[in-house]
Amino acid sequence: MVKVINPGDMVFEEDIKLDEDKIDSPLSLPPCPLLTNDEVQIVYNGRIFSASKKQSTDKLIKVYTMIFGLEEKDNPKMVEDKYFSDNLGQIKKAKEEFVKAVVQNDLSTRKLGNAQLGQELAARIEKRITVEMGNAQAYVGKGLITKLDDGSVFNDEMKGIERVLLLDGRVYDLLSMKEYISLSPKGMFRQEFYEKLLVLSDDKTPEQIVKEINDNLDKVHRDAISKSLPAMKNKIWHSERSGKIFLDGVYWIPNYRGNSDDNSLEYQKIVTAYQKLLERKIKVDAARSIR
Amino acid sequence: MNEVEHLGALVKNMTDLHQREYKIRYNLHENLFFRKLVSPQVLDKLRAKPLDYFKSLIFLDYYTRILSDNDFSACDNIETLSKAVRDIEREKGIANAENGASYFKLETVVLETGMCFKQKHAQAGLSKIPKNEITGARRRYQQDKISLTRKIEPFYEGLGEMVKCQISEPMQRYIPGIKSRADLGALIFSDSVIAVIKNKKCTQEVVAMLECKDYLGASITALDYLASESSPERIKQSILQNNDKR
Repeated sequence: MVKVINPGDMVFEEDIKLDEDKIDSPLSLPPCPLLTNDEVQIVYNGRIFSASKKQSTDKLIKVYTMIFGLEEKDNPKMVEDKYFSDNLGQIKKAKEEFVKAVVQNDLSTRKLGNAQLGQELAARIEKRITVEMGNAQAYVGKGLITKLDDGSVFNDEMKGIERVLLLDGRVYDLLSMKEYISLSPKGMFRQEFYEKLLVLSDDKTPEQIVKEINDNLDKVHRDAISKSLPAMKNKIWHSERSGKIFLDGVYWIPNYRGNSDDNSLEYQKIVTAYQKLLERKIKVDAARSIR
Repeated sequence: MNEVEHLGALVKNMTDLHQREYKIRYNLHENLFFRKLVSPQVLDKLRAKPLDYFKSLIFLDYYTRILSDNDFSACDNIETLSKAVRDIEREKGIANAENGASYFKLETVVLETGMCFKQKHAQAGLSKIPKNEITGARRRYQQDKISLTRKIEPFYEGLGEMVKCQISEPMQRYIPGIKSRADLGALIFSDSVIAVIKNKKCTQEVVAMLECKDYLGASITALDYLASESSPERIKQSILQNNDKR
């Protein structure tokens, strides 16, 4: 079978001798330290924040009664570049081993041009190594989501982690108060009060929103007052011992992504997907450097 | 490292007791507190006043897991009692939720636990904790070790503050000596008993042991005193005082 690699370059399929099954095999590399399980991390539109003792009024996280600033970490591109340069030797070796394992005969004796082979291999890697990820809207609603355009694998390729909090191996989607209130069961609030709450949630604090609800219990469905309402209020604000996250002018409510008995599956999915995408980039680079 | 950092670092390095996450009602630090410090059997059974809730959970968790060899009957008793009180309230048309008497204060939880322990041993004709039980408790206690490999960070410092708040002020001086989840449980257990039974001799003996960093010994002494002072009358009295939210 004939295959066209570059316009004008025709080769026979049987001349492209690649061990496709080896394309997927993991490289022997350390994980990139961008995602760490050792501190709380907030990934927000491609930027990463962690709790810091440096106080801040516009970026903060409250844990029980203590309030900490949210400090932006180095951007993903910087962390990845450092990862690539710190592990240069290992990456070079991994690339060589990968090419050796996938390309079946000696490069110097094949009929197909090496550059063409590299190009074909790169295409096959990109086709074969895919990572299934959700999209942000599926997790956090229909609000506007933008992402830092820094050219990193993290921001270019990862999906579904545009607004998350990562803590101790768990993933929480960050919902604005408006998004959180809009999850309330239909009929829980009278329609006009529900709409008022949505408007208020744009610029009121969690305390003020809960006070507004408490002052208007006559506008809450009777059955909800003792059941779903306390649970909902507890997540927004219950006392000075409540948690709170304020970032980019919005109060955020962490919403656990996994099932209630889930064993850190969602977090592992993210870490594995990221490492796989980094390795895909390394493999594509390796393929393109075949000369 | 201050007390809050010390507690935060310990909690961070504890293995999880379970993988549950309460998606609806509880927030991040509360869920972490549950995961690191309270077994699910205790979480499932206890209803307590908001301000006493977390301390009661650790009290019961320590009692059931360490002192009582994973016998959760004290939790069952507390749940049964709480439901009975709630049924009476419903019959009377009172629906006070957390304000009602079926949400127990720490005092009721402590006394009911003491009563449960007392009954268990009375059935076996024993008035004190038998030696073999102490040996078992010591073994379980010593298994509850922590290796401090993960560094403290602000989020866990917040959790450390939450844990510190469960320990009464006079007892906070024993925080630096805590080296494990069992030490923490023993201190909170002893602290709770002292606060509830208000027996001077018990307090002196428990404090003397804590001074020597014998947290397990302190908790066993406290349990002995608790058993001798718990009675149905005291529990009844305590439940009657549960009618406020705190």
